[in-house]
Amino acid sequence: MALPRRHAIQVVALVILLFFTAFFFVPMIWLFLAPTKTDGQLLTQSPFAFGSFHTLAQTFHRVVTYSGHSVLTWLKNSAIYSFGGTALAVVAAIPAGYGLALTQFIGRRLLLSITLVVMIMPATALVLPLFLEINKLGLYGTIWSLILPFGFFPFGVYLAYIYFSSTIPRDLLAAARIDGAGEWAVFRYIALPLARPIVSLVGFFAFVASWNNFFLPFVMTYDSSQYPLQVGLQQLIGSTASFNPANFSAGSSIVVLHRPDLAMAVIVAIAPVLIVFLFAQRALVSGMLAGATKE
Amino acid sequence: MTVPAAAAVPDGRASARRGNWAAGKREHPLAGSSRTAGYFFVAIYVALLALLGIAPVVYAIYLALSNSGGFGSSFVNAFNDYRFLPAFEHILEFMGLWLVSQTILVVGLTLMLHNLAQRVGAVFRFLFYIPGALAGAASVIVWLFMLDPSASPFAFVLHWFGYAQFNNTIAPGNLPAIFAIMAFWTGAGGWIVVMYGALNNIPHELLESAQIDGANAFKTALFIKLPLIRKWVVYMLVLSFAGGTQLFVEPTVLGSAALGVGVSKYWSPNQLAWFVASQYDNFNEAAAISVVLLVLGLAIAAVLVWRGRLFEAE
Amino acid sequence: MKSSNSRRLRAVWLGGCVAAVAVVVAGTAGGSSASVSTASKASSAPLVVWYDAARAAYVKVYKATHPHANIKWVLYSGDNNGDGTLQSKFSLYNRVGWKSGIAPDVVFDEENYEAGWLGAPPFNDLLDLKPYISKSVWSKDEGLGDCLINGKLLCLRNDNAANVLWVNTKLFSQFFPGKQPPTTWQDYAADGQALVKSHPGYYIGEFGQPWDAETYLWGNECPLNQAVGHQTVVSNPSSPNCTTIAHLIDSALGAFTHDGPFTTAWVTNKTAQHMVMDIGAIWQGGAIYPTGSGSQGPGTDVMEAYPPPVATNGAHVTGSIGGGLWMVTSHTKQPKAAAALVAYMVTSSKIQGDPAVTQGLPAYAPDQDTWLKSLDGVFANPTATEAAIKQAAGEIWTGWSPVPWSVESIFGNSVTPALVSGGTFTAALSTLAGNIKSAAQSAGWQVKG
Repeated sequence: MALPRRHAIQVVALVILLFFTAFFFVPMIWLFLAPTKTDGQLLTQSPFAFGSFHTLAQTFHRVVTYSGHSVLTWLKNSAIYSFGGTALAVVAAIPAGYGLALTQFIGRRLLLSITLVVMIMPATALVLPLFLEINKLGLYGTIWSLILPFGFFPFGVYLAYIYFSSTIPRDLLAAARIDGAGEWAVFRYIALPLARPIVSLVGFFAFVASWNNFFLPFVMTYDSSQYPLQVGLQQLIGSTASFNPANFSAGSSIVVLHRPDLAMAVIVAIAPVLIVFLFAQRALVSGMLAGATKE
Repeated sequence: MTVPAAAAVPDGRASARRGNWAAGKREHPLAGSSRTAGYFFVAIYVALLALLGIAPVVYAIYLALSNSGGFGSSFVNAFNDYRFLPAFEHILEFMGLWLVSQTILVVGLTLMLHNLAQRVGAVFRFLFYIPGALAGAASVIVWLFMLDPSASPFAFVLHWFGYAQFNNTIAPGNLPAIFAIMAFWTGAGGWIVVMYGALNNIPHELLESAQIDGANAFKTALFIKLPLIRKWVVYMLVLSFAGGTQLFVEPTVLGSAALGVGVSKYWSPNQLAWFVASQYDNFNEAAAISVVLLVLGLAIAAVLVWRGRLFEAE
Repeated sequence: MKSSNSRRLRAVWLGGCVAAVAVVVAGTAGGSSASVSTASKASSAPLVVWYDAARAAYVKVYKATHPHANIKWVLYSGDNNGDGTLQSKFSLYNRVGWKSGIAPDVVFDEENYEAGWLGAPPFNDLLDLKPYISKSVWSKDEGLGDCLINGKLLCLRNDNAANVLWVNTKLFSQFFPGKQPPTTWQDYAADGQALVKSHPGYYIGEFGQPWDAETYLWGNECPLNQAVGHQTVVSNPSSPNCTTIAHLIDSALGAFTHDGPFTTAWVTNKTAQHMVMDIGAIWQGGAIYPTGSGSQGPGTDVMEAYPPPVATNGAHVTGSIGGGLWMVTSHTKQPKAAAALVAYMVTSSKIQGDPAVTQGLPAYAPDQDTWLKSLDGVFANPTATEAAIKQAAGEIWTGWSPVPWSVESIFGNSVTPALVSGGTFTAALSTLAGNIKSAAQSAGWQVKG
């Protein structure tokens, strides 16, 4: 009666895979169902029960209009900081990776080594000295206090370096130079058109890292009107009845947020990254593998 | 945590080739190129590096050493702070749990997925990878509910562990594991996608010949596939390590949502540095803690890099 | 040819660098020009007021009654659960400068001890309100122990959050027929012991919450957090005032629920319906006993407030949980306007007299009667409830001091974990005292036993 051993192993493997599927995906299902329920339903009904579209609309409305549309302000701030930082990161990293990979200059090896070190350095340990420095530069409270640090992205430089040093046929560059093309022209007309995958790859990582950064904007912003969504989310926790008893002493005339509202706010906060993720998976793998292991 | 969902690893072949021509400088393909051009290409990056990478490090060291109490007194203060050792213990415990489980599970799951039909594997990979979109505060909010026995879809698991309420789940002894679970949940899927891609690059002939030699799927995975992705595993460890030492947002947000139960505001070293800076206005001691964290993080990452023979390109 | 190329390259790159610098400079200039304009027109800079979510209704009233006021309202966390937002931002402002029109002039703070933190070194960021608000006004503000620090008036109390004994009259008369609710801690514990035997699963209080110390220790004159003189705190866990109350609570541990009133367990277990008694702040009455999905309570109509238990040393005192503070920062350019706003928020009957605006008992005594009348028809036996609340409001012990550390935080992360996993309050006392001592010393304070 015993199953053949191969089948037994397959069954075990399937069970393990299903277990991890539940682990990874159940919280996502829960998250997207939560705003369809009222606070009471969320606690009393099955975690997988669907509330109603009407409740969902109400939850969405409550979150978006909360405190003078704070969530929209934060969304806008997040967009400014992240897109600004990503643009700067790409503009800095792509030529730098090219320069490190395909040109010669004194200090190239040193720069490469420093890049590797800085890349694995625990960057948030430097938030405080960075704050003092930004303040001395007079940039505190401006968008540059975030865009500049977000734009400094050694990991992107490293990715670009790997990409250029392994994918651009050197003969092509040499031929172009012999034809009299200047360095800028070689970069602009030969390397850059071939670099599209690495531009989107660096852009992807820089965007996700900037969008999700918490500590830096937490320190660099004057007040809640400058918060990005990640920091705003923490404030929303404080505005949610169950996570801050003080809200129970609020007068009956005002809107107090509840647990489903918080879930809705999370969905709003992650939506841009989620969309990027949905479309980026294939590009991510192909771009990265092309950069790293191309023959 | 700012762990990239996926990352590139240096390719031995490319770097070897590069090493060769770099050694024979006279036949350098770039021989005709301008020597100054390189500076222009790296200019913006070098400016940012100096301003935002190197200057803060120098400033942190300066702050840590310059203290009215005398040279090095900030370090003494930091070491004597009753919160210092626990904070580092917490982070080490968290890193140990997280890195070991992530390494085993990511490799194991990737190898399993690689044995499935292409389309089925793709569905699993996608489901594993999606939580990567939730980082920091967002994932903590989701896990606030996942860890609450009264609201969680995983309530039966929590009850099975004997946790009747949220305060039981977030008992101090559980916190490193909880943060490890959160980090694994957001980060693992991306790494699985990357590892899978690396496995796909293994030449078919190699796997076929193994099959002809009578190796079963299990043996193929263990003896052929695993050694071929070893480098990626080390790479994952290095980048995860760098991200993990920075733990800040998770304990901060969990602490404030748990009404201050269980998670102190100086649970991790980063939090402690921020705490002494912002609550006592002591930027010197904060800088000293940051420098310790920096040195520790760099040292261990360096060992990994060196032992894993990573980045041997240069 | 090569030279022309490199010249062109240089031109392009130089152009790029110039553009980048220009962008940065423009950004800086934008920032500084904003600050210049606010500085030059200091008098017309708006008054910046930071408020928390629960105070949103106050803001509405203020806007309606002061339509021409030039105020920038900024919602913030309220420093909820001592999250440290104010300390962080204040310490940053102390570095970057308090820019008028950007940095706050007025702050509402949910943490009742924080005037003793933000108004003390190294912060010194709070304005002494005595020159700006007449004594005839502030002397009627109750619970000023949290605000009158070293002779300075560093804040006004928003609401009086004294603890009372909340009793579910229906359950109590059913479980303790013919008996009156307890008037002393000894009575209270004895009722608990009886309840454990007669009706397990019903409770006389909460246990394992971050504010336990403020309920049981503060309410029994336990000198664990008592400021005496300059940066000196007395913390003596072996004082009889501490050990007696801890023993009493331990003697009835089974009658205390571990469910926090703001947790999901409180809702799903319908814990509120199992509370025969509960010692809690005045504002808890309207917050955690109503029926409905939010709190699953028994309904406020069966709840009655009784005076807090008399301390084991015979003193008529009580503790206090929460309640907020209105503070003016010492860096404000408009101290008069800021103080006037604070005074309005604290004293106006349009705000403090209306339970639709606030559910806490006004700290400002003249507003209390209006607010108390609104309890008619809400709680059982309104006359007695109102009398008990008024009595408790005047009994807050002033020996539990506003200090630059959060006892709630310390309690939450050092003591609560032991309590919810079966520890005793007696054992918790020394842990708590030890951690208070460490925190105090780190803040530069002397600790006396």
